[in-house]
Amino acid sequence: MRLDRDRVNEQATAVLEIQHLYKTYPGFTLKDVNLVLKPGTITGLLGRNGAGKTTLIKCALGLIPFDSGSIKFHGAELKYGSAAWRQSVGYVAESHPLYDWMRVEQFLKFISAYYPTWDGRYCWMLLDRFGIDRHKRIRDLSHGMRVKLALIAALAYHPTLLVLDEPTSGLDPVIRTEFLEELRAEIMSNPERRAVLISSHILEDITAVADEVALIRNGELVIHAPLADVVTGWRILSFNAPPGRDVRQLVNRYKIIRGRDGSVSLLCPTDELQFAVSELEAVGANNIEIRTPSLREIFLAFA
Amino acid sequence: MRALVRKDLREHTLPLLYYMAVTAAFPWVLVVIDRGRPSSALLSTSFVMVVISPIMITHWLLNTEKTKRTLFLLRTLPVSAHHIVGAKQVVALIMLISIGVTSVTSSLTVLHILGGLEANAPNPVVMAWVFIGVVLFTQSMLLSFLRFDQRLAIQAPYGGLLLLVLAYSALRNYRPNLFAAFMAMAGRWDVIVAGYLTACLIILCLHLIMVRLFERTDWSRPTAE
Repeated sequence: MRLDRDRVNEQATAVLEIQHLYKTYPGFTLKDVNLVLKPGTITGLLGRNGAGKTTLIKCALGLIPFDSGSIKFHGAELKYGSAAWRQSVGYVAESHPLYDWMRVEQFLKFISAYYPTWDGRYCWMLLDRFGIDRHKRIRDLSHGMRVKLALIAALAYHPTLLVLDEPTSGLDPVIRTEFLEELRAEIMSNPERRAVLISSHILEDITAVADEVALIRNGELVIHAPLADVVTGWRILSFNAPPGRDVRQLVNRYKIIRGRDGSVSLLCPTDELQFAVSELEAVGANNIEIRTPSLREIFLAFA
Repeated sequence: MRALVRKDLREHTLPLLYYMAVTAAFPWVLVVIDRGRPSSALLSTSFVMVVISPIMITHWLLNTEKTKRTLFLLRTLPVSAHHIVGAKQVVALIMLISIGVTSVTSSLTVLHILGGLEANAPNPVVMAWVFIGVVLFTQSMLLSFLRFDQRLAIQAPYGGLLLLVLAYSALRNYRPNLFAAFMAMAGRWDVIVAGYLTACLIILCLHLIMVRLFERTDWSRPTAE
């Protein structure tokens, strides 16, 4: 499947293409963000609180105006204020705003009026699979059920772009797993046209579903690459620093991710590995160990 | 837009019906308090229509959605801001007419029963101006609730209303000739038609301002309750 999707990625137009996006709030600027969501891919959007993930998502979906830049959806440039294109976009917001006074069935019926491609049978199937009582009032649903309902409302019309902002925060591991499985199944059902952007702090979730990773730091996109490349593009070098030597001077060109009791770990690009090892050996570092970093370690180094 | 109108009407049916019942009962209560003097009924109608209804309607339609952030949910739907704002304006008008008809009918019934209908019959010219005035006041209240938090939103249009009342009183007391000419002109039907057309233009302007405001605001952020 991965090979098929790679072929699709090379041939098809990007589902969403963000170019040179700038957005300024008092005390915060989203700077020159370029992000391409290819068909058949799930992109994990990472970053610390306040890094600009939600702002980027809202700008990309035309929910707030941006200062400059351009956004293309399936190759067509979007004009701010136009809303019809959102018939092909599913969005699960971080705050999951829903009409508490409505019953589940009533809410889905209300939402369905805006989507010509609404698939009622698929919607009821998802409701049954997620175990949501369609006659229940939304105010009586638990947090997990609300998230699932928001996801159903975003999936039931088979959007070509699915944007999920912190969808799994506050969910227990069972519901999270169900949620991610459904997400994966949904994109696999039509990889030629479909893409997912998922923002999350739960790195295990991103590792489990994402094909690509985008890391945003202080409003700047610092990493955007396939997950496999992000992980294999770096190595962790662990070593014991020689006594009396300042580790930072020793390896000031690399990011130190841990340094305790004489033992130091630093993040080094894979293609500079030999150079780094020889530098360390030259200054007397010993017990040098090399291993592949986890996404968490890369996140901690860059976020 | 029909789905939005239906949603709003369904959401507020119960409070609207309750409010209409209270509005209908209001002239009767005032007549009892005022020992059966018929003018009380009409006074109560004006009071209810002008002072309370616009606040109630806009609070239901906008403040609840702002505080629960469901305006953000509407914003994410594939429907233009024109439709969302237009639906709110239409629902506000429907509610206002429902309350107005209930209130006026109840007042006229009171007058009829007390035998003062002929002497206190409402002037159609005044009714026409009051109606469009209240519609405009409600629409500006919508803009106020969309722009400001509740505390300021309630007060802002009343500032305008106060200025209008002051201007009216000043004209009446200090420029009686001008006031008389003004009133004579206001009674002409062509002037009333022109007034309604101007009001429609003002409502259109308010609509465009609200659309721009709706599009430019991040409704996912918490607002003051």
